[in-house]
Parts: sequence; structure tokens; C-alpha cells
Amino acid sequence: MAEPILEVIDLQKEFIGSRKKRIRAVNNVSFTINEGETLGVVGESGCGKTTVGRTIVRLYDADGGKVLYRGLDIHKADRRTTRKLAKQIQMVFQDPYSSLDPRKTVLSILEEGLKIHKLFRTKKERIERVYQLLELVGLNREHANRFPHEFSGGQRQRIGIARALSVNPELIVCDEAISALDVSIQAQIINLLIDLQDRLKLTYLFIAHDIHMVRYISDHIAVMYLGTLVEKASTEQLFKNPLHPYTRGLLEAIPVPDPKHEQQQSTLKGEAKPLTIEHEGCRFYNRCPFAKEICRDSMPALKAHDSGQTVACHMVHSENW
Amino acid sequence: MSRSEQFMIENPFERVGATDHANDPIVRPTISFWSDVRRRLIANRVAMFGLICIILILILAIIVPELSSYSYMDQNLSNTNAAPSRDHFFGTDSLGRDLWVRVWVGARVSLAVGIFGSIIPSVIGIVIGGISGYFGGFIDTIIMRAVDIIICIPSMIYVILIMLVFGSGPIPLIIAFALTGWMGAARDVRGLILQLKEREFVLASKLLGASHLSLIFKHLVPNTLGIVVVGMTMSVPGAIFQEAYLSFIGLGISPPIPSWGQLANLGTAVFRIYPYQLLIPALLISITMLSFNLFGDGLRDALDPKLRS
Repeated sequence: MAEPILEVIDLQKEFIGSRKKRIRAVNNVSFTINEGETLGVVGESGCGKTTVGRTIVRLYDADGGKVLYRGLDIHKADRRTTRKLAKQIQMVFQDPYSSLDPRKTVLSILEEGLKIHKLFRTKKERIERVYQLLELVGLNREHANRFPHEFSGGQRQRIGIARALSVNPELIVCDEAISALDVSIQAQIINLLIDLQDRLKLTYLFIAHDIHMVRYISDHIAVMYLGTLVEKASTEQLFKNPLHPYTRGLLEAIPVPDPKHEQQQSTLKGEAKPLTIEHEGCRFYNRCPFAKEICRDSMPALKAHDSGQTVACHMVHSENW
Repeated sequence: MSRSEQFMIENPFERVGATDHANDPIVRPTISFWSDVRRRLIANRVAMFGLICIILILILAIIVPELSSYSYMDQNLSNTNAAPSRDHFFGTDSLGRDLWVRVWVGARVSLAVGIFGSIIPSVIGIVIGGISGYFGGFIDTIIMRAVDIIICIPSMIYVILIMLVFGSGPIPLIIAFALTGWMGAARDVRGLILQLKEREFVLASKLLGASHLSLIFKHLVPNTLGIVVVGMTMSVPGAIFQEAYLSFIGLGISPPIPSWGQLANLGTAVFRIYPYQLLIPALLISITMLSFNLFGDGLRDALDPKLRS
């Protein structure tokens, strides 16, 4: 049985929006990732998935709740531990064009982490390691002295992955790591990530808005809507039997590559509006086709369903569902 | 759910892996950001004209006083106010000193004050603006309000005060420029860093554990350098002009060391009789300022071709 490597418990994060309005970007999100597994987080833009990812890597402080890495609360760690954690949790970013410093060569981009953590004593060893990293992600050692603008999007993303790998992390947060790429390149990068997972025993938190891509890489999937987790299930279960109305809507929206297939009107209407902190009911209330009074007045809790997945919906848990 | 189910039965992905061309070596020579800038700059004739003028003036300023048989303070009272001739290319002044040598010694002083008087305040501005933009929040507010206040005071007032305290000469002048000229660069750099610090490459370095200082000075500042260098080039003529102006009114460089402003000052006294004594230094000030402006313009275009309309 795999050990949990990351536990997120009741994570909360607020931002101050325009006119000092408090916006709760992440609201009581909890999940666990086991060592060597991949958790996919999906949801539409603005649902807080990137915020969750950035809070886990400590780019943001949490406003409530805990993030435990192997039982250690990462937001309460002292400086030395934080430094160690930086080696263990890394991130692959969304935009391959802004995630590499345009003034630096690939070598110095990949070397930075090695220098900061003093992983090698001599320059020669560091360069050797950079070559090794480049070959690991399917690039060529001759690429080391090139500048980022000389590479294509997919190649840049490989460099971004190599940078994350440079300090031998255990957990990698992929924040929309494939969303900015062409579909064929997306597949290449996904395959690369899966290969690396096998070879280096990595654990991924894979954030994306494309549930279709997430399916291919994830062992479990968590669906987020406006800062809350609405459903958590193993990938297989989620696709076979989506419970939450929002998850159903998402799955229905996947285009089918068949010209004879008639696209049905999606059951999802309107768009997600950020809610202020005062909102008490279910966050999906105003778009849900099944909404009842109770949905407006109280927030459903994430509860285990008979089928084994957890879902936050009053209706799903009610008797006559 | 039959639809998505039916679609999901077979794995829609096919193994593609890295294609061979992703692994191809790149054949064309490596072009760094600055070599690209150099290429565009060289293609710009006007900027090159400015650069050549600047280099020519620098060379003359360096070699003429060394090679000439006259020194800038040798007086020859039997040959005062001579017209330009083979012996004295620019003639002599009212004390019989050779103006050709004095103009190029003056060029040394004026250019040194101009160049250091714009580099040093820019460096101060980069550091202060970098810190302000990077840390943001309270520190930023304090620094930027201080800048707002300092920028409100006419700089001439405290340049003159500083010159009175430190005495006149090239070094007090550069100090005065350093204390009065950093605010513009600080504002520019701060603005650029505010934009840059949310970029993902900065976040990535932060995640790798980079310290604040290395984030500011290894990642953020190098990315703002282009615009700062343009600002620096454009502020050189301003500094030269300010030096000339201060020396002209007798505050900048004190005799016997010549500077262009001071030569112009001496020239005005005899302007009606010997106009060349004023016109030569004035012309050199103009040519130098124009050259720096042309070069700065070209540099800006070379750094950001999108700006050129």
C-alpha cells in the first residue's frame, strides 16, 4: 500500500479583489496523493486549481488549513526545512514562453538549482548533470548553450521539466503544463511525464482544464468548481459513473471525434461567477439543473458515496437520487 | 452517460514519444539577446553616425593633449587671441593658451562628467528601483513617495548647494548628479520589475530556492537592462549640458582646468571680437549631445524593434 506523500487538509486561500472585496479562491479543499501516483485536478478557469498548486509549492501562504508533505506542515517549516523542501517539491509551469529567462542559456537555467543547493562541487560535474538532464527529457546535449528563443514550445516545456527535475524532487506540480501546447505535442509531453514517473518514481499533481488529457495520466481525479472540490474519484470511476452534476456537464462537453455525432446541448449553462465570501449555499447552485432550496441555503460537504467516490452535493446524497 | 462512455472505451491516445526532429541539433549560430541588438544597431546608419562621432571625439580627447607640444595651462602672453593657424588649430585665448589643446582637455572633463554623471545615478536607480519593485508593499510605498518628493525639488537648487559644500570640480559634480539623477531610473526599473516579477521564470527560480538578491540582480534586473541602457545613453547629453551650464555660470569646473562650458564662458567675454572662441566649444557641445541622442534613439529601436513606427 502506497504511503501518502502529500495531504492537503481544509486548505483556504483568499485574495483581495477590486474595491477591497475578499475573494475566496480556495475553500476548504482537502485531498491526498499517494507516493508514485498522479492526482489530476480539473476545473474551468478561475476555479482555483492554480492557486491550490501554488500554495502547495509555497508560492502563496495558506489562509487556513494545512499542507502536509510526508507529515510535515510545509507552511510552518523553518528556513532550513524550507530549503530542503524546495528540493523535494517542484513545479512545471503553464506557459513555456514566459517560464524560461530569455537572457539565459539553457545551461545556466538548468544549472541554477544545482548551484543553489550545492549539489555538485565542480563546474564540470554540474555541466555533466545538465547534459544528463537534457537527455532525460529527450533533448540533445548540444542544446545546452542555446537560448530559450531558439526552441519550439514543446522543446521549451521539456527544458522546464528538466529544470524541475534538476534537484531530484519527489513531487512535481504540473500547473497546466500542457495547456499551451499543440495537441500532438501535448501527447508527447504527457508520454514524457509518464516515462519519467516510471523511471524516477515521481508523484504528480497534474492541474489542467482539459479533463480528457488528465484522464490519460491520472490515477485519481479531483474536480474543482469555484474554489471547492466537488468530486474526487479514481479516474476509472469518474468516467464510468460521474456523480456530481458539474462533473457530468464536464464529461458531456468533451467533443467526440466523429462527424456523424451530433453535439448535444450541454446541460451546463452560463458561466462560473466568482462568489463573495458571504455566499452560503452550494457554489454550483445557480447553474445546477437539479438545484433545490437546500442547495441555496447550505453548502454541501464532501462525503463518501456508496459507489466509493466522494462528492459534495446534497442531491446525490439524498435518498431519492 | 452512454456517449462519453462509448468514447472512452478505447484509449484515444497513441504513443508518439519524442519525434526525431525534437532532438535535432540547431545548426545556426547561437544568437544571444545582445548580439541580436548589435546586429540591428549596426544596420541603423543614423545611430552608427552618432556612434562614430562619439568615438572620434573620445579618441581626440585621449590623444590630442598627449601628443601636442602645448599644455592646457601654458600661457604665452606675446601671442594672445591669435586666429586659428597652422601652429594653433583653434587659435589662442586671451592668455595665449592653445585652444586646440584646451578644447580636448575640456572634452575629457565634459565627457567624464557626462558619462559618469549618467552611469552612477542609473546604477543607484537600478538598485533602489529593483528593491522597491521586488519587495513591493510597504517598502515600495515608502521609496516611491520619497522619490515623488525628491523629484519635486528643482534639481538645480541642490546641485548648486552640493557644489557650494563640496567645492567645484569634476568629482563633486558627479556626486551632485548622482544624488539628483537616480529617481527617473528608479521609477523605470521599478515599473519593469513589477511587470516581470510575476513571470513564471522568476517564480521558477524562487521555487528552486534562489535568494531575494539573486532574484533581483540575476533575473529581474538583466531583463530590464535594455531600457535602462537607453535611458542612460539619453541622459548623457543632459549631464554634459548641465555641466556646461554650471561651468558657464561659474559653478561647475573651476579654472585653470578647462571644460567645454567653461571655455564657452571665457569665449563669451570676447565673443564680439573673436567669435570662434565661443563657437568652437559650443559647436562641440552640440555635436556631442546630438550624437548621443542619435545613438540612444538607435539603441532603443535595436532593443525593441516593435517600438519603431
